[in-house]
Amino acid sequence: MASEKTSPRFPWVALVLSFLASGVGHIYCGRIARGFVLYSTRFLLPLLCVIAAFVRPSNGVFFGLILLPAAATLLIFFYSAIDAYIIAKQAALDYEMKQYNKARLYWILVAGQLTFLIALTWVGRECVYEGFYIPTRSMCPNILAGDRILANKRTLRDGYPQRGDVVVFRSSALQPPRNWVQRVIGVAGDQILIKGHDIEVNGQKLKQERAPTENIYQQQSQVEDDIYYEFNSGRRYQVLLADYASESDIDEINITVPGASIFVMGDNRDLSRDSRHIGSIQVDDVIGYVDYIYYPAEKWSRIGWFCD
Amino acid sequence: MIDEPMPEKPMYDEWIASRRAARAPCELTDRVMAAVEMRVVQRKHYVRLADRINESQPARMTACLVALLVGFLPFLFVAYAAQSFAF
Repeated sequence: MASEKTSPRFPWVALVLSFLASGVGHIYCGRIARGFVLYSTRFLLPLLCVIAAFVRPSNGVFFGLILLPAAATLLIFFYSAIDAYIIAKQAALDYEMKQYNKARLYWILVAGQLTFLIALTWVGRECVYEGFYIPTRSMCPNILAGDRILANKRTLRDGYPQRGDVVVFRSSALQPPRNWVQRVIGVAGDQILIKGHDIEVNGQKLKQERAPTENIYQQQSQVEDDIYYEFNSGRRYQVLLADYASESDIDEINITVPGASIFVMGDNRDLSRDSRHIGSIQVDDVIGYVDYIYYPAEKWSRIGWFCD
Repeated sequence: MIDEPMPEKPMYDEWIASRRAARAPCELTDRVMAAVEMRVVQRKHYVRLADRINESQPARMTACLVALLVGFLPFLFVAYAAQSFAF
């Protein structure tokens, strides 16, 4: 006869507890060491994604600190549930209750893990990384319509955007008011002169070179025009320039960028609405810098670090 | 305590026989049983609930599905934050 201190382990209870919080199902089955390890990983792995925002972006950081931990977290979620279920099924009917086999402890652990993960995601989205879906081709050939990107919000605190940076901003001047992705061409105090495809920053014309035809981005179905390399303040990036006459209704622009503002343009120069149409953007409206393409619209080779 | 034989054994036999014949009052028995039952109900309601769910397979599956949904909430929230899909 089972004493007061013994109780069978129900496999479905182990499954329920593991679904609610990884590792708790193991603790229910008396495997506290494995349970603790699984429980801890659900705290540590998401933290790696936060650390990624504090190091220089690269493909290694993307795969090692963002993609791999995210995939591992998902795997651990399911592994923990299945493993706890099997352990509970194998447990003896007269499982001897341990001191930590308390319903109150299970609920505390479940509440702790769920609260931590949701709070971390919230804080991470507000202060570290935010994902954006790109619906337009205004940044072709570097960011295609349908791409999903990660914008780093932390580096905003390090200073103002620089020429050549690709930023996400929200401006009420653009209708409908939504998030936009553009490249910084000029910063506060810069004299910008634009004639057709030619751009001058502080009297210096930005050099544009035709990119080789074998350029990999030519393979993208969304790239229809010719790709050029543009050089701005030591940065080189690709832009799309049509050979035919510009469809832009603005022929010549000559402005000085006001203080605490930036002048932005899309890389798809003939299909972009940007500072040529709506004027300079307040630096306060900038949300973050584009660091990674985490889900490319075309060709998985474009996944990872967003570099020009 | 000094272990001494009872001086008047017949009196003892009479006493022990009367004690053995005595029955606990029904009221007292009921009170004790009610207290025990109340204690079980108060402290182990979750065990009783688990037992009830354990008896029915649909209930077990429903509990697991609800837990899966709740446990998956952080993943859904990450997907929402990354704009992987729109709600």
